[in-house]
Amino acid sequence: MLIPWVPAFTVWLAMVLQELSLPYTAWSVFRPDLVLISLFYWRLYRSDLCGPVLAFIAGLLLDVISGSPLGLNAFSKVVIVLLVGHFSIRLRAAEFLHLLPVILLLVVLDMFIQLFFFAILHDNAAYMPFFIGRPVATMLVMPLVVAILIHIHKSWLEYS
Amino acid sequence: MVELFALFKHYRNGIVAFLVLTVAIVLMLSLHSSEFDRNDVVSGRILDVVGPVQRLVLAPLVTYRQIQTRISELKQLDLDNRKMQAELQKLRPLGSRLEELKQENERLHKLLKIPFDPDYHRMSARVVGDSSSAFARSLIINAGKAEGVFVNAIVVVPEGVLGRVVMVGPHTSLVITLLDLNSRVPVLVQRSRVRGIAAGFNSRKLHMEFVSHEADVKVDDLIVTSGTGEGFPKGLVVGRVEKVGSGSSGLFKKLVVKPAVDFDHIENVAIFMVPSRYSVDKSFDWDSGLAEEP
Repeated sequence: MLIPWVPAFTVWLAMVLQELSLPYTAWSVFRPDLVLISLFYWRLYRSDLCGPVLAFIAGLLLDVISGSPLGLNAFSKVVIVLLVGHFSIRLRAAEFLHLLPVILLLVVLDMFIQLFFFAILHDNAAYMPFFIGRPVATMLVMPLVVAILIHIHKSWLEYS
Repeated sequence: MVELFALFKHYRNGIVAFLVLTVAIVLMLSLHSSEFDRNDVVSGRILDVVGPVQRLVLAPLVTYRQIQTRISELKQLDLDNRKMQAELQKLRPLGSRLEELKQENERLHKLLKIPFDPDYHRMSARVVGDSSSAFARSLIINAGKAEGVFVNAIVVVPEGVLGRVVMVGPHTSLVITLLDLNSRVPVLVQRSRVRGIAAGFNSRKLHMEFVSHEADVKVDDLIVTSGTGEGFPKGLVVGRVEKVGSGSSGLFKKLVVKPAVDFDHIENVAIFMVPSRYSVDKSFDWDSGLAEEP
């Protein structure tokens, strides 16, 4: 009964790890977007369990935890999930190495969506180094995170 | 109505996406901090809702931080433990030294409690050697001429009389114990006041001599110094009668006395000296190394 909640649970774990467990000061610039990787993976391989609602809730929680304007992450994550869903067939057919620049672009897009709304709301008061470090860090940790997600996927969701 | 439901089902994904995006934008526009109104009821309600959610999300972090704190505490404890162990290693010899000093202190306290004649001068010394042999029962103490010891000074321990000084060096003295063959101490039986001489025989017992057959002496009677002669003050414990000889031959009884002092376990001693004879030069011939009888 709880199996369908596994993607949501992994997204939640990724959020906790990303926003709370990693040291804030030292890693703020290079903190990878683990939530985005999780949403990306589940949207590609179990789109039935990872839709815009899950992305919205995850983004909203991210906003609550990180103290950013409520709805900022929620909006960008929903857009990303919809985009991945739209190109999912083509992306699933791609080699894993080709997905690395894709995730880089998605994080950049996520950043720019947030920057766009942030600029509207706060007169472009965003911290710019954050927009460079996070996509690169996300791309670098993606193989490890995806390997863990594949393991979870095969262990819990393969026959469900 | 059915058509509307079918339409909704057909465009469900699109409608859901549109709805959540709209909600996100509404939230952004209504709750951004620059225009945040504390009196805004809607914003307050939303914050009320997300507050517990935040606590729920924070729960793993709190646990994680607690574990982290506990681990750092354990690390600190380990460090402290190592430091304490090192200090303990340093202090352990001091502990045994402290115990040694404590015992010595107790012994010296006992020595100080020995009742003595106020006419006598008293000092304390430590046994530094045992010069006993098959033909002598003597000890060496670490007080000599420089400390004011002279020949025939009385050596006492808390249990009773030990002996007397027979030879004095610059910083050490030779003491013959009551057990020595040459030791003769005037004594009396405390209960019946019968007098006699306690003589050593290089054994572990003393003999009380010159006690007549008629004298009232029983086993376990306490023998003390009689104070006759010039050497020993009166009333110092010598020992207890262990055996009263029943033989009728000779003029005197044969009494065996068990000394009060355990001669094998002596470390600190008190030395009693008569001030009138408090002179070293007259009592010892430093050239020959022999003590003169006063």
